[in-house]
Amino acid sequence: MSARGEAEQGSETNVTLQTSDDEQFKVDRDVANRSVLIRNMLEDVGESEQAIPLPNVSANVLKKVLEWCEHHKKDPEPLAEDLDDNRRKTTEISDWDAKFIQVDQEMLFEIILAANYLDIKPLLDVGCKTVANMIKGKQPEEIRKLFNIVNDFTPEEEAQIKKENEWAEDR
Amino acid sequence: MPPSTRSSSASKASQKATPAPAKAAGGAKRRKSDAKEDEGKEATKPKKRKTSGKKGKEKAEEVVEAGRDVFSSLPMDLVLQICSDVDPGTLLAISQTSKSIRSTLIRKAAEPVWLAARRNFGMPDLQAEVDEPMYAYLVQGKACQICGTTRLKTEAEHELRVRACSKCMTANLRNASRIRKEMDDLHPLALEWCLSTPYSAAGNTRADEEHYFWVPEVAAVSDHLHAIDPPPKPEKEDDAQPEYSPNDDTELFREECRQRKVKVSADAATIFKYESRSLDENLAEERKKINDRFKQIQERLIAAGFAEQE
Repeated sequence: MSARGEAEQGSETNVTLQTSDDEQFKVDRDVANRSVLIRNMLEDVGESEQAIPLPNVSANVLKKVLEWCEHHKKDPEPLAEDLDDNRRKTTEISDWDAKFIQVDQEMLFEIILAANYLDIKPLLDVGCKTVANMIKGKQPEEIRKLFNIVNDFTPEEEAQIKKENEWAEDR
Repeated sequence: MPPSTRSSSASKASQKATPAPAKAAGGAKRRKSDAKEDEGKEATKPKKRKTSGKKGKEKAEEVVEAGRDVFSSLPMDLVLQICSDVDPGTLLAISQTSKSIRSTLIRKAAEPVWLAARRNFGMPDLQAEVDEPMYAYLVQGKACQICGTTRLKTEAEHELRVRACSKCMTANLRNASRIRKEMDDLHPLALEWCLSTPYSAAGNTRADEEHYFWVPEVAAVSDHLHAIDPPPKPEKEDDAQPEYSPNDDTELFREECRQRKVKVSADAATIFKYESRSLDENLAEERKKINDRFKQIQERLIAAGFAEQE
């Protein structure tokens, strides 16, 4: 990380990223390209020694995200059909990813938000699936506890909604 | 009256029912519109709301910053993505956690999420119209739709599209002769048009081999029939119901009911088949259907002159 001056050694392959808390990360272009947002930016501006600002990502989160990108930099581009939602569901989380995503809840959600912002779909999927797995099979009270969701139903309302399973109308 | 309206007012009435024979869907309808209003208001509030006013008292398993509700403050598309990765029963539980989450999920616009959730679990499409949360509830729900209890085990009766605890099930299932005896002002045509089942919830035929009806549904159908086609009154109170021919509205309603009965019955068989197979078998079946559909579309496109790669 750091030092803009070193860019000469490999401006072809290196990219500098600047986080919301003003830290700079220097990474392989392969790694940075995992982010569709960054890839598009690089394609738009062409080669540049300017750091790419990522105002929505802090250093501790970006570090984690780059760890994932580094490990997955050689992954083949997803085929168009793999992006199809029906197929996405059937793919399991790999062992490495499962281990990678074993972080505290706050970091998990930060990673999800960053993956969403940076447009790293496979990482977003891993994050969302992990959250889904945390919830699976739980009852409303357990889910509230897990995520600190405040129960703003009165006891009467809560009894009522358990029996109401039709769509409420869109307004 | 379209079938959807009918089924929804019927099931609304069934929710209102108490262990005594229930009456009138009118009150239930009024209540429904109230509920809608509340949810509508909720929907306009910003989602972030949840993060404020937290009590540090509630402790989560893995939470760092005490009391912060990150889940509710996620952008809606991410909430929806997470929700489409769970099973329908869990999705139903999520939808019951808070008002804002509920207003996000229990609306037709969220249907793709419910579809994704149930396709993950290989749950097949049904023929008779049913809102996705209701389908999720019937197959994987926990609460009794009559008394609302979650402490007692509930069983679904798919032939009748109901789920209830054994107490409410017993209190609301009746055979024809008992309904005729017990229900005041039963429209003479009502029973013929209601869902009924020869099975008990366990899937065994009943000892008396009679068809059983769901009392709240009978009440709702009877009320509706009284509204569109009041039967002529017998001259003396104890006389038999005089013969009469139903009017056109009633004939239309009869046809809707008949079609619904056929579909619900077919659906019950579909669900029974689904429940008797393993998850893998069900997923394989769904995948095959999707592939077949994909192939069909592809063939049609190729026939229409597109190259295969396109």
